[in-house]
Amino acid sequence: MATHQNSLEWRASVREIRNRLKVLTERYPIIANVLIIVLSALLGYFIPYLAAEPIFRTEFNNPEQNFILMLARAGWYSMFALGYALVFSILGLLNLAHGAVYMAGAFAGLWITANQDLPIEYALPAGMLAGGLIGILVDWVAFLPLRARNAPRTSQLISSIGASIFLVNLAFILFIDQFNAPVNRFPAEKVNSIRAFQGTVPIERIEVFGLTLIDQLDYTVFPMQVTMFVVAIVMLIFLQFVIAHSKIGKAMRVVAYNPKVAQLLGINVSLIFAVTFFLSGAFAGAAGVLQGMFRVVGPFMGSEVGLIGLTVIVLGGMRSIPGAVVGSFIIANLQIATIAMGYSWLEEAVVFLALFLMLLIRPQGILGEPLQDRA
Amino acid sequence: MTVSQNGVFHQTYSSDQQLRPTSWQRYRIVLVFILIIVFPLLVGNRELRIANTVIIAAIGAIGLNILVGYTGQISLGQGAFLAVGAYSTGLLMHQGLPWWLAILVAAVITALFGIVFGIPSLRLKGLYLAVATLAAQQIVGWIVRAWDPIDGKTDGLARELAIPNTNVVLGNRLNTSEITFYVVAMIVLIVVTMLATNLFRTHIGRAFIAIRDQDIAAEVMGVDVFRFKLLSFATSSFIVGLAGGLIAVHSTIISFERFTIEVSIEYLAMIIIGGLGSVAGSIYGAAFIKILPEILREIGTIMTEQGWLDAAEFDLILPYIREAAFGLAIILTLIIEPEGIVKVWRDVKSYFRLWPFSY
Repeated sequence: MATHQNSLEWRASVREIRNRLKVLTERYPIIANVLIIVLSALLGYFIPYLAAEPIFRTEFNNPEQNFILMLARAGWYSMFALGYALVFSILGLLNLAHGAVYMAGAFAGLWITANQDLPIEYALPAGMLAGGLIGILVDWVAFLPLRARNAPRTSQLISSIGASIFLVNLAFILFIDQFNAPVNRFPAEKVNSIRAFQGTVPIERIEVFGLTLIDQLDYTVFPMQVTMFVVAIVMLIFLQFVIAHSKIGKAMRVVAYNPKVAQLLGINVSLIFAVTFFLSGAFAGAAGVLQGMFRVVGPFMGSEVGLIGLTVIVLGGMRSIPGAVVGSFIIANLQIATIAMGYSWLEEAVVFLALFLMLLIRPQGILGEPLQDRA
Repeated sequence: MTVSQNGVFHQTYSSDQQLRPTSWQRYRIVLVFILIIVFPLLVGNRELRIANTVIIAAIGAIGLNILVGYTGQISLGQGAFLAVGAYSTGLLMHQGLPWWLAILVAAVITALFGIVFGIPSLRLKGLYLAVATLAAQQIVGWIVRAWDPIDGKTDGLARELAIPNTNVVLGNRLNTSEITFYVVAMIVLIVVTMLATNLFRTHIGRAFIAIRDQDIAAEVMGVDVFRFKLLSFATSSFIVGLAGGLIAVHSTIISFERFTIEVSIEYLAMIIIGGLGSVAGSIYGAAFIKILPEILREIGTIMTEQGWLDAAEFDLILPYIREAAFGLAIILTLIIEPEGIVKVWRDVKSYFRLWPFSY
C-alpha cells in the first residue's frame, strides 16, 4: 500500500516537473531549442566516440570525424522531418508525399542552375519555392477532397502515397527528357564557386578567443556538412519563432487545437492549411537542394529519407516540433555508431528496429503527449 | 430477369440464409465457372501468364481485405507477409517437402508471423499502426535482402533463393507450364473465396466487422477484441502466405525485389480500388491493377505504330508511366469512388434492375 502511495506521489511530481518545463519551453522557445540541440549533440558525442574507439581507429573513422558526420546527418534529417512534424501537428495527418516534395525541391534547384544557367545561390530559394508550391499542390489534389468529405486519416495517408508514387515517376519521365539521365549532379564548378562549398577543410585545432581548446586534431570537414547543420538550426529556430510569436503562428496553433473553433473565431482555416503545407514543402525543398549538392539528384532520392524521417518523428513525438530534432539526433547517432563499429550494412535495419521498438514501448514518442489514437 | 434480390420473399430459415437466394444468381455462378474452364482453352500462353498473376494477386488481396477491409486494421506490411510465405515455401522444398505441403506449412508459418506482428495492433490503431506495419515490412525486407537462407551468410549482399525442381504436377513443372499452374491456382482461389465469403456469416467474421465499425462498442458487447484482432491477423496472413507460396512455386528464383514496400502499396491499392470489405472487390481490384499495365502497353504500341512516339524512348519510360498511372488511380479512386469497383458494379446493376422502365 505504501509503495502504491509513493508511486502516486512520484508520478504527480514527475507530471508537475513536466508541466513546468512545458510552460518554460513555450515561453522561451529559442533558448529551449538551443538547449535541446546542445544536449542532444553532447550526448551524441559520446556514442560515436565509444563506438569508434576500440575497433577501427583510422584516418576517417575517429570520434571527432564521426561527430561531424553525425551533426551533418542530424541536420539533414531534422530539416526534412520538421516538415513532417509540422503537417502532423497542425492537420494530424501523415504526408508520405513529403519525400517526393524533397525530391522535387532538389530537382528545381538543379534545373535552375544547370539548365537556366543561373548562379548557385539561386538554387536554395528556388528549391524552397518549388517545394512549397508542390506541397500546396499535393494538399489540393490528395488531401483537400478527402478532408472535405471527412474521410478517415488512413485513407488520406494512402492518398498521399498515391501522390508520392505519381510525383516520383513523373519526375523520372521529365528527368529523362531534360537531362538524358535519371541521376544527376549539380555542376561541380558552380558548387565550388562560393566559399562555403569549396572542397574539404582540414581542421587542426579549435580556438575560441585566441585560447586553444583542442589541439592536434586529424579530421576533415566538408563545408557542405556545416552548411547543412547551420541551415537546419536556423530553420528550426525560425519555425519555432513563427509558431510562438507571430499572428499566423497563433492562428496555426488554434487550427491545430480545433479547426471548427478556429473558423468560428474568424481564422481563414484553408489559408492556414496552405501556409502549413507551404512551410513544410519549403523545408523539404531546402533539405533536398542541400543534400542534392552534397550527393546526387535523382527521382528516387526521397524514398529512403522519407522512411527515416517517419522514424525520426515517431521517435521524437509526432506532434512535437523539437521532438523532430531530438529524433534526428538519435537516429543519426545510431546510424553513425553502427557504421563506426564496422556494421555499415546494418545502417538501415537499425532505423526500423528503433521505430518498431519505440511503437511497442512508447508510441507517443519521447517528447509526445499521451496518445488519443490508441486501441 | 433480375439478378438482384427485389421481390424475393423468404419462407424458411434455410432460404433466408442462402448466399445466393435467386436462381439467376445461381445461373451466373455457373456462367462464371464455365468461363473459368473455357478461358485457358481460348487464349495463348502470354494471356495465361497474366491471368496467373491476377489469380495470385487476387488470393493475396482477399487475405489483405480480411485484415484491412473487414477488421479495419490498416497494414502496409503485405510484402513482408508474402515474403515470409514465399521464402518458407522455398526453404521447405529445399528440405524435401512436396510443394503442396510446403505451401500449407508456409501458410501456417506466415499466420504465426502475422500474430507476432499483429501484437502492436493491440496498442496502436490508425496512423500509428500503419507506421508499425511499415516498420515490420522494412525489417523483413531487409532480412530477406541481407541474409542468405541456404548457407546462413549475412554480408549485406543481395540474395536470391532458387526454387528446387520438385514443383511438379503430373509431370508438368508449375513454373514452366502455365496451364498447370492455372488449374492449381484457380482451385486455391475458389477455395479461398468460398472460405472468405462464408467467414463473414459466422460469429468470427461478425466479430471482425464489429471491431472495424467501433472497437469499444464491440468490446462492450462481449467481443474479445484482443483475441479477434490476433485471429484476424492470423487468418489474413494465412491466406497471404498461400499467395506467397504460389508465387514461389510459380518462379525459378525469388529475390527481395518482389516483396518490397511498393508491393505492399500495390496490394493496398487493389483492395481500395476494388472495394474495401468485399471479397469480390478484392478480385476486381487485383484484376484491375494487374491488367492496367498491359492496357497501357497496348495503348503505347498503337501510339508508336502511328508514329506519335519513339519506340525506344517508350520502352524506357513505360514502367514509369505505368507506376504514375497506378498512383493516379489510387488518388482518383479515393476521391471519386471511395467504395471502389464493387460500388460501381452495384450501381450499374441497380440501374438495370428496372430497365427499361426505370422511374
